[in-house]
Amino acid sequence: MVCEEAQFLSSLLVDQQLSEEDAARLQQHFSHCSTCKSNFEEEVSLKSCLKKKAKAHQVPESLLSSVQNMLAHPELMTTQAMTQTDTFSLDKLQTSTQSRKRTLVAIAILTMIGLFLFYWIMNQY
Amino acid sequence: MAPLISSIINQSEKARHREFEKEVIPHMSAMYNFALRMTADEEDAQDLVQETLMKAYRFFDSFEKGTNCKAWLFRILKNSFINKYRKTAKEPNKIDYDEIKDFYNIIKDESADPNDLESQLFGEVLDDDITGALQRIPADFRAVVVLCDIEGLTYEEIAEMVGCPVGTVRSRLHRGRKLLKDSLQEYARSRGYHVTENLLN
Repeated sequence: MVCEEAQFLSSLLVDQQLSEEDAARLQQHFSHCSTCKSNFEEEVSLKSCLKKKAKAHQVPESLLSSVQNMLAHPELMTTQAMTQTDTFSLDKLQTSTQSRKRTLVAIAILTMIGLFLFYWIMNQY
Repeated sequence: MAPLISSIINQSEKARHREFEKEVIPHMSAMYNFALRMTADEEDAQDLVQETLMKAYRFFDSFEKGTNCKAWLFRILKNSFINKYRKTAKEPNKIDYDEIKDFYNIIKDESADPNDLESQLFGEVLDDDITGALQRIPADFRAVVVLCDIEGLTYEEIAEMVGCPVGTVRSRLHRGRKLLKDSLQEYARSRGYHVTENLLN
């Protein structure tokens, strides 16, 4: 096993998402590669540190009450969300005017080719 | 006829409203915690949750009943966060990690318990340090590390939440942890701990 593969697999081992077979191969690699082994140990330490030290925070009262207020007045949600989606539709509008310009140019070119062909064919006879 | 139609519309609107409350509100705490880790600011986190709820309400029809509502909400939240904070560029300055590595010498703490790898690597870590260290890594990496290592979700769930393939989640996680490790060590040093840069020595 090369170190690159070991690095990739060791992340999976940290999350206990590795098959027993691969885990055994990885352990074998660790036995002769101290760099990968220490990288693995560091990753385990980081994960356990985050798990132990990161607290779950309580939802603040102010947020709870404003959400209750929102639910009691659903029209608030739709109108405010509307102003946010306005920018969306503005973007869409811009892209649609751009594509309209493109179609106009294409039509103009096609008309010119058509006229040219028409006169050319007329001149043949 | 008209009052009948309007009362039917009203009824369906009410049913939709009840459904929204039933599906979405139980995830408030998880949403707030995720928002807090992403923004590192209580007020911003509250705004982000409210914005997410409003969008979720407005687009509730696009949520497929019986599917993972939490994943759907987290996806809205994460996208709102990315849109908002990329625009305002409110994210704190990113650090050049290589520069830091060159700048600091490896100092081994003689007094640390050799069995306790965590304190050897990170010193005594507080919740605020984690929040602060997370802020210094790019948002895409931050999201997967928070969801995996703090919220304890599986790769598949995270993939659904952030809207990318499982393979991408894995590689972001690997890289994100490396960055976070450096960032946390940086915090430990700034608080006066002598931490080992790596366990190799």
